[in-house]
Amino acid sequence: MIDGSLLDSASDTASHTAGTIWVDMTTLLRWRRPVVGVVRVEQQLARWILAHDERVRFCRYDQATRTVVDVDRQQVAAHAAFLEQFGRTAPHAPKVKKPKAKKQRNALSKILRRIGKAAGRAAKMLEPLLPRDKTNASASLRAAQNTAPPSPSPLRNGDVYVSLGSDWSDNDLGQLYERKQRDGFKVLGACYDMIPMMFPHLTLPDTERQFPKHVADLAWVADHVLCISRCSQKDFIETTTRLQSPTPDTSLIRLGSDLSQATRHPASAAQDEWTGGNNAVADAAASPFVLFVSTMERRKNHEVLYRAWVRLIEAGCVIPNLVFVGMRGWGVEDLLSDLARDRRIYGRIHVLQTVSDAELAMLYDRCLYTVYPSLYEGWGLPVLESFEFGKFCLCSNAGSLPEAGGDLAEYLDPWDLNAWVERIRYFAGHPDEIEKRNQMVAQLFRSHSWHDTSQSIMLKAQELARTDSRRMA
Amino acid sequence: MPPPHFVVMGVPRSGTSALADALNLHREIMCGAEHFDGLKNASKADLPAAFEDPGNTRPLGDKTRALYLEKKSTARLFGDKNPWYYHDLPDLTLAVPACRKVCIYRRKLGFWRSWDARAANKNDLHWARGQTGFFGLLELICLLNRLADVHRSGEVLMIDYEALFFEEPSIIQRLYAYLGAGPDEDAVVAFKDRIFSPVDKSRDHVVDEACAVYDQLGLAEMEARIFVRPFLTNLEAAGILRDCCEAIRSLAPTVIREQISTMREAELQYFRESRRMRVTLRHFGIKTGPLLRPDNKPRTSPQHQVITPSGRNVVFLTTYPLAAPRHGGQIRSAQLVAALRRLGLNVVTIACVDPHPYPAGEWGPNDVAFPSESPLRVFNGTPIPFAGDYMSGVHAAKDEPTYQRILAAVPAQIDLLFLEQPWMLPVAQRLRRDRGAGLLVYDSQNDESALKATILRKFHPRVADALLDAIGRLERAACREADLVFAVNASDQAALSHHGGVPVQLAPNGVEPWEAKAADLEKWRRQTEASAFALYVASAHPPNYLSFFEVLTDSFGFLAPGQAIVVAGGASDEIGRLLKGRQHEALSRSRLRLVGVVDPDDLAAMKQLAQAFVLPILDGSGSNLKTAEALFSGKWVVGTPTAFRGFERFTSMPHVMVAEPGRDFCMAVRAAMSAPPPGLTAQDRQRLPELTWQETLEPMTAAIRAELSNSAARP
Repeated sequence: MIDGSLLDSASDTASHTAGTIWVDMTTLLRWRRPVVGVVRVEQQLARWILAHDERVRFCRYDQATRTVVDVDRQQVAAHAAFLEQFGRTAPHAPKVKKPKAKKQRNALSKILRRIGKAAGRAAKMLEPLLPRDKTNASASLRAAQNTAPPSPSPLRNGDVYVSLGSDWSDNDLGQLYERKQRDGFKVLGACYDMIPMMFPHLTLPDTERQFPKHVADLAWVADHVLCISRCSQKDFIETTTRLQSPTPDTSLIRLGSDLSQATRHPASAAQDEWTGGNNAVADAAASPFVLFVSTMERRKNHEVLYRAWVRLIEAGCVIPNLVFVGMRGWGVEDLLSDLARDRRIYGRIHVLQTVSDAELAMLYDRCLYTVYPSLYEGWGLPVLESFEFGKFCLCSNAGSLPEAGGDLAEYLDPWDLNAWVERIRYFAGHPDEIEKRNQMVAQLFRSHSWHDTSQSIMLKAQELARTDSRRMA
Repeated sequence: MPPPHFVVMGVPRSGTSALADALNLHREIMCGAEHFDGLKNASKADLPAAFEDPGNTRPLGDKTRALYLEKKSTARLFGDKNPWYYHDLPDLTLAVPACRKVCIYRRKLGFWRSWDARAANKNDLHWARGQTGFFGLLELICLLNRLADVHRSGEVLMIDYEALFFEEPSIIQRLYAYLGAGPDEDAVVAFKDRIFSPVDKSRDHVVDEACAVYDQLGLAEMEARIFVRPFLTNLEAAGILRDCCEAIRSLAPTVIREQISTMREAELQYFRESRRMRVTLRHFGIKTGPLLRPDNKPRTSPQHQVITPSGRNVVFLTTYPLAAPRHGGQIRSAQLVAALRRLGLNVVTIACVDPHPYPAGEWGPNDVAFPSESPLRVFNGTPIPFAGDYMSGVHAAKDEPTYQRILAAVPAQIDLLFLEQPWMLPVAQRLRRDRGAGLLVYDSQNDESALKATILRKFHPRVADALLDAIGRLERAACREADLVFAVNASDQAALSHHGGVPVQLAPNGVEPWEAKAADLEKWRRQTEASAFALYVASAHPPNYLSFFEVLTDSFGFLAPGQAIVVAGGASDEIGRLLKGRQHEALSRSRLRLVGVVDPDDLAAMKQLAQAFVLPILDGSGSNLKTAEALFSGKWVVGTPTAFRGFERFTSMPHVMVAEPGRDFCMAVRAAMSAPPPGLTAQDRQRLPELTWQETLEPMTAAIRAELSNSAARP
């Protein structure tokens, strides 16, 4: 339980007092797919708050009214639970966008609102249970955003607003800044990485376009920014300096890496069920293999592994297979085409895009070791996940990865194909070395819990609530 | 055009505006509100058409224009009010003898308190802070001297302020009749209802400080003797006025020195610097100045000894039309034309105009086209867009039909050819041959060779040298052939001096004070969509936009969300084009408002609303109007060292930040956008009027007047 001395007791959740901590859940509430990266941080924080502190309030950015609005705890709880049902890599999302149902919801809400305040509360409680679509703002919402005057926000002088979400696409920090100038609340933001600015070619054009404005707005609005690694902290400071905006105070948080028991030991993880459940997974795991778990996109650098494997196969080396696990991202069409059509790697490189938690756990268990040749990262959760399963990682030395993997991984230049070829050849010929390194991981790795991560975030929010002055423009 | 029928004058803050309002109640009378800078502009050729002329951009110009449009169908007597017309009474009497002159007179130095109040009002940009009531007294002394000099000043009707507005409403009827208007009962009733007040609230506005001086100088006795009647002429009161002035001459050195010894620092500073101010050197100095000098020797002031004969013809040559001035060159030219007209000269403007940037509605009646298909657009086989001005001069002189149109438009006798920039020199040379034109004045605006070199070497390296040679020859010829040569700053002055010819004189760029309308302020508050903005006003002249991002960079994070840089003028479109595809384009767009070309009212509103002005200029020559405007605004001004070319003496002022391009500049803007308004002292504010056209062009008009006078005297 965090120190609640500064927070007034708030048994009546319908009202709030100065010093309230508001945690934005916009990204989480919009998410309808397997939980990844930023969403996982919000999800874990939400779970912690729901379990440990009932005085913290949830909110979200509402595009229609261009303001932050209060969100019922039950809605957050319901959505977090809803996301639990997804496997971590399965790409399918439930189809909940049904105009008819939406109409019903609107009509129901309308009727309930008419009944009065009590009924309004009931409507709020029912809200998460009603199908809705917040994934994409409609054209009319966008138009409203441009023309409608901003509505009042619940944030007051002395409050702390915490946002750890994808603010570059889900929030309007410029609007928040103007409200903050007027209302005097404080803002705790987050920096995951500066990749869209440092390597714009490795990100979606839309993100590349939005991101510099997001960073500049964040730098102006935030009283404090939590960075997920020293590398991202350094990149953030350098970027704000380059953008000529102020640089707010920053500090480090360490993201959790502990896997839930369900993930680590899935109930459905019996080998028979697993091998029989998905032929592709069974095929991939039938022979010794090296595992690479990551969304398939250009930055992750699957390319270097493909080339290394081709070169070693053509050289007649005896090497294990390679298994890629991850959702299909952008910019990899040619690579996927090559992987599908290149006969040299037929049966040697497997691409698995739909994998359940149970199947992934089995793949981690069965693999020789993992690889992670990413061109740049702001942290490196997959490396730590590999450690969680007791597997050593042959890893890129770019960005924050050495910081995440510490002494337990071996690092290579992600651009140096020869280095990757040599080390893969080396480990193929030295299974004892792999075993030794895996044992070292199993012995030395200490995971960091999401509980501790969430608690440190909330402590920082409290600390901010205690500061009298805020950085002004 | 009919002559100005009347003028209204008096010590400032003595009720000249109220008197003008009272006159305008009469359907046959149309009285402008300080529509002209000086009396000479209200000359024969200017009224009443001048009231309709949008080129006259005096602060109250719009008010007068609106009134004129309302009354033009009924009015037949035209005039203008300006307190300072009395300074030019002798000139007016010579130039327009039939003009009726009305002076409102406020007894007991009743204006003193009002001067003090305006001097204390920090928001009043049109009033110098040290200019307290004492300076009103100096104006009064000057007025009395003028009124006493009936020989040169002619007849002036003197009206007692208190009698007219508070005691005898019938005086207004007598005044209407004096000006030659017929009976208008409605006007009399309206005067009684709206203006006349039996309760004199201003009568108690006598300041103790004023009383002492008032008594010491014997003004009480003079007023008691003169205003036995509320309505009389200076001819009738000449004896009393002369007695009084004689007394003042003997007493003033002591009284005024005593007054000066008790002055507050702000006043004193104003007084010390008042050589540059209208009140002393130009007007007050002539009569009151000698009173303050121990040796009592009269100071010679050629500019005031020379009276330019009116009716002389000037041909003013440009490469852009002047009917709707937008960019700096047009604005300077329009101001010069107005200044020449104020000298009593008949000015014909002729421009050889590129039709592309200037729509037909903006052309003057004598302007000729520089067609896009003209073979003279090509230099050494290469079409060169950035040298259109050079080519247009060549076209105007060499294309025979074009030149014949020009020839048909100019007067048979040309007394002065005014060459604004060197481009139309070939035309001036032909006109001198064909019409034997008198004086040639060359006003340079820029060191064109240097300016063009920057642009041409960048965009047309193949022909740059040859074209620059031609431009250099043209500039040298202009300098050598002209009788007067002017530059806008010291560095141009030095550069042009190397070309030979007469000494190059300075005539810096200036500003026209602006005043925004409430509706426009509201409109631009909404349209800028910014909590605070810095303003950049610039035309599409390449140096104005080519270095924009070099100075301000692609990292607009130095502006907070909601803050913006507003770009107004032709540069706006060009900057929009440069912005496309730049790094961090979306961030830059979120902090930029490219509003394009806007009309003067909109611009006035934006200037008033701006938190700061930015001057991101790296190249170019001359001096920038935008710099003068920015400095005059009293807002924060962030500029490169180049931007302050010609205004270097202002860079030490507290609202000015000189910053190197790039991060230094951006950080200065960031600081300015977050800072409270700059704290200009009274002394600082007193310097700002130096930036007005009235002050900056005065040396030029004085030189032209003297040169014309000399040329007339020559056999």
